[in-house]
Amino acid sequence: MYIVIIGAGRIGMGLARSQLATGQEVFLLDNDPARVEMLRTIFGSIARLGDGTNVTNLREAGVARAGLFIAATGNDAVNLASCQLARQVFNVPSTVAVVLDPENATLFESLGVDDVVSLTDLAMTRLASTVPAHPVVRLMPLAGRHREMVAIKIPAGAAVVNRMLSEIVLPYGSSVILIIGPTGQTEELRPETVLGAEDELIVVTPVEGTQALWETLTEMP
Amino acid sequence: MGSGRIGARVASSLATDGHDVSVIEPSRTQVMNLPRTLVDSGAIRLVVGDGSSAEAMLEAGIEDADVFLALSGDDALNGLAAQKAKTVFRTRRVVCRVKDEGLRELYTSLGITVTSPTALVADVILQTVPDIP
Repeated sequence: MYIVIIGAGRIGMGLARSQLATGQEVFLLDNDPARVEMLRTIFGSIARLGDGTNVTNLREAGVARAGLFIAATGNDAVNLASCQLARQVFNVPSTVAVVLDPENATLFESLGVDDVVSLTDLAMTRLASTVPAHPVVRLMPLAGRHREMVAIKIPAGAAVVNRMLSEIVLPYGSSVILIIGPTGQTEELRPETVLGAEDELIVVTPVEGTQALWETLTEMP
Repeated sequence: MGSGRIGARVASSLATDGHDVSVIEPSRTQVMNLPRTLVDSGAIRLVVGDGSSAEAMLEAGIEDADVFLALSGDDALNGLAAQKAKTVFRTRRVVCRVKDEGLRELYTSLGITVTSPTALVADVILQTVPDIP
């Protein structure tokens, strides 16, 4: 798929890197000359200087043939305007906007942005997960809200503690995508990776499997 | 919203004509464009804050507003503020200042009244030279 990303800060650049690694075709547009120069040394010609709210710049970025358009600048207003242009002028089938101000999240969805990622809400959710209780923290809806990304922290004494990933039977369709240890370090994901108390698992799961997933990971022996 | 030269002038005229005017200005230094007498006398209510935040809009009294004018020099900010006024606060008349031609077409298609000083000035200049051979 051809993905155009507006704003190549930490988020835009990280996203570009991950999508390129999975074989997607990516284009980065950013309005900071120094940053674009740096990007070109890393990514080559797929990065270009330009304004995401300018139709000509968007056309030159090939937005007309993009399957996915992601606006990830640090400016909510720019992210909205560029997503609206991508949708209205170039008929991009799917647009995503990053927002800093949570009040813009629902507004942007009502204004036609397909998916809005609220950084502040994500941070709040993450912070909520640092409290001693072990609830399911719903990080993000996925696949038209049929699936979701959740975070579950494993309590001390749970049945899964000291077990290998390959030994744990998760609900059908669930997959662990990240394990974050109690001090914040990420664990390598291998079948023989051993789970520890207070490890936090980031899991993508069908929404109907979330409850069973939580039970599996927090159940006491 | 916005008290650069255009916003300040529009606000001053409206206030002098007796309308209740609130100005939201994101930058504390820009407010110098507004006539002190009108601000000090309360003819213009000044709110310093993020021009597209509901908080600033509410402080400026958007819920009772007949008209919301987004007149900053930032097209995207004006577009966001205008759409927020229209969608969230149901302001009856919303006007958005836009420089970029593509955004002008976009916002017009979204039902927002758009004004483009650049286009207006160009029209006026062309009118002064009607008979170019």
